[in-house]
Amino acid sequence: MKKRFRKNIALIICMIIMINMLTLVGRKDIYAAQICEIVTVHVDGVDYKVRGLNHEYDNNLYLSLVDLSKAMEETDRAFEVEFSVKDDDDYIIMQPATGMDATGEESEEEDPFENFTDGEAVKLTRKRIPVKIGDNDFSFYIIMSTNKENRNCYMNCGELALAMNIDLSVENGEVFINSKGEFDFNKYNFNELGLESMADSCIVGDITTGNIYYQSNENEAVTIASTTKLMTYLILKEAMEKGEISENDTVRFSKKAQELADSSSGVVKISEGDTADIMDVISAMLICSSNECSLALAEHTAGSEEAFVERMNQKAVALGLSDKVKFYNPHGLPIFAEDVFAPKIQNRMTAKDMFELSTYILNTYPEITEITSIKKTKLESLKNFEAKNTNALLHNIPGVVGLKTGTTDKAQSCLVSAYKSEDVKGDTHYIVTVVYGCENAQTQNYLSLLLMRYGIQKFNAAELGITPDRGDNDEIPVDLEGMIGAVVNTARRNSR
Amino acid sequence: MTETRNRRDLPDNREMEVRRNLPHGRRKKKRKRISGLPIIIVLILILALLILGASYFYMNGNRLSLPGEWTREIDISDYAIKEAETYLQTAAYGDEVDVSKYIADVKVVSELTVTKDGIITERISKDSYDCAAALCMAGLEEAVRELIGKRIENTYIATDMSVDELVKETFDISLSDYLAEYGPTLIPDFTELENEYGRDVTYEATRDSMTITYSDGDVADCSYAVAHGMLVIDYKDGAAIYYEGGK
Repeated sequence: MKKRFRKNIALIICMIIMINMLTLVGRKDIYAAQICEIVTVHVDGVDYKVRGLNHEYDNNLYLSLVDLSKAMEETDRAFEVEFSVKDDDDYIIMQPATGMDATGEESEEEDPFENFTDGEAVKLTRKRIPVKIGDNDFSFYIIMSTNKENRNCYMNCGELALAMNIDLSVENGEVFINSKGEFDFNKYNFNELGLESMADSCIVGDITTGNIYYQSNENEAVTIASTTKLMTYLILKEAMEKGEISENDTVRFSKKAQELADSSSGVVKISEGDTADIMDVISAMLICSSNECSLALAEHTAGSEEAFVERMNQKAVALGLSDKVKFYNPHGLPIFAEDVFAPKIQNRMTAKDMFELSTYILNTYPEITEITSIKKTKLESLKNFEAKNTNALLHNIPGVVGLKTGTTDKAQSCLVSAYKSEDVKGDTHYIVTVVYGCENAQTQNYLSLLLMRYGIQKFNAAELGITPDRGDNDEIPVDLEGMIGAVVNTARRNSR
Repeated sequence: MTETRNRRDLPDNREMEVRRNLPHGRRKKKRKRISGLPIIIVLILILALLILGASYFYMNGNRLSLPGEWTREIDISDYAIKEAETYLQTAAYGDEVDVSKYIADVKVVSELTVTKDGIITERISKDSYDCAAALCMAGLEEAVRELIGKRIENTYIATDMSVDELVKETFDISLSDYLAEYGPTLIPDFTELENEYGRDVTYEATRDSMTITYSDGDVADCSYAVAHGMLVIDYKDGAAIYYEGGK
């Protein structure tokens, strides 16, 4: 009896420990302790001590925003950090420094290191939260101190430099900031940075002129997950043009769509027989990547999913995309082939193909950006479903107007983004980044942010004449790429 | 009746024909005896002439068998292709244009003059240089035309205008004028080619070998041959150079 009792007690204790451990493992954003250290930050030649930590890896440096604000308070880029709550979640505000606290009185000098020792372990949590910088709301992964009395937050160096667009570099563990300069990609040779390690493939370029600024493994076939929905949109628009469907249509959800909605891949709760306005269904597909809405649209347009997929593959051929393009469904989820030894198959193409597809869509149906640029909206005919855009770049670079995220276990994190700008003649240009196969959403966001900033800087330098690549006649670029871009623009203005 | 004596019957092996008066009024032809000495003299003279002639052409240390003007062609296509490719690759998709389709077999002519008094000069023909430069630019123009067409196609723009029309519309100058003004130099500078291939040297030659002396005092030994309108100069420490012509 005693023996059995002891056994049961031991079993119960083991179960309690296991449950707690599983709970902790499930909370990926909590770390028992992170070792903080003092980092030397040189701001305009003056040394400051700032708390920092290497998150998970060496050289993955996160800096304390609170400490950095102190280091930069004498510069034109001075800012203050305010911790707030928005929609029941943490919210950080980085505002230009006023020197005043919330009561309107001058802030007292505080020693940020009063209760801190170099090498001290602090409890931190990492999550994506909104960060307001100036008038813009960004969305970054921030490591927050769990100490509510002595609040602090840490931001990745690279993301900080790109978000603030400030000249920042790291050398031998020390940070150098030039507050008067913007982040300058000309200092870096992209081919030597090792960016190809961050994604399976990527590309950034100006789709208006066809100029490619950077590409890596751009011709490798990859699974594309929900970025598939861009092709789905294209087929829908062509069907509308032909009069097969209309913007005023009502879409009915089939049993198959309901099954998808009820699965772990479901986004919008719908039932068989439900109906919704076609434009709301398209919005749900593009904004929050609704798979059931993609399926419903395919069935509504072509009568069946199979017939719609056939159109997608035919369109890929018609556009001259590579023979590596293959669609199996209109949403991008993995499916099983019909066979005894059924492999899990997924839609695929190359980054170059997606760049060309984006080129066609933005040139032919630029109105797509009216939907893809929406950060959050309520879709009335879908029972007021609140659609939140999964594209973080919409938050992190003002001017980004889309286009589509994608995530599956095999595809990992993917993002196709577009930034809208104008050249000196007032012609619209879209800078597009395509990123496939990042190991997580943060890497995908970071790489997309970096590539987009790089593309924008290259575009601005060429189009706005910041580089000396202009001859005596300001109208004639002396570099071949500039010349071709101008000619392509002329072709666009004179197109049929 | 004519009496003829056989050569063998005569003491000097000379043939004599004696015409005698015959009763019927016919006359015999009388053969005269020729002396051997003048023939010997003539033969000696001919031999001497031959020896003199041979010594003039072969023994004189300062004469080539065919002094005159020779030419050779220098192929600069590879150089031009490389320059064009470098230029094209500054633009997107520039690496997808096969420049060798448009620039091939471009040559400049080098003119070699050999004088009897031991001087060799070599010069690049300016006319051939200008012609080569024009050919290369024409090739580059075609390559850029292809690239622009490809870029318009990649952006899915449908236009009825040709590339040349689009360039003219954009910049108000033609594509060839644009490249002439802002494009690359595809072949080496004329002076550079002259410095590389041009020369003013002196030489001393034997029947089939030659010693060339450069203006800086350097000496090069080579062998040479002339045949079928070609001159080959084979440098001992370098390659053989072939010339044509021999005017």
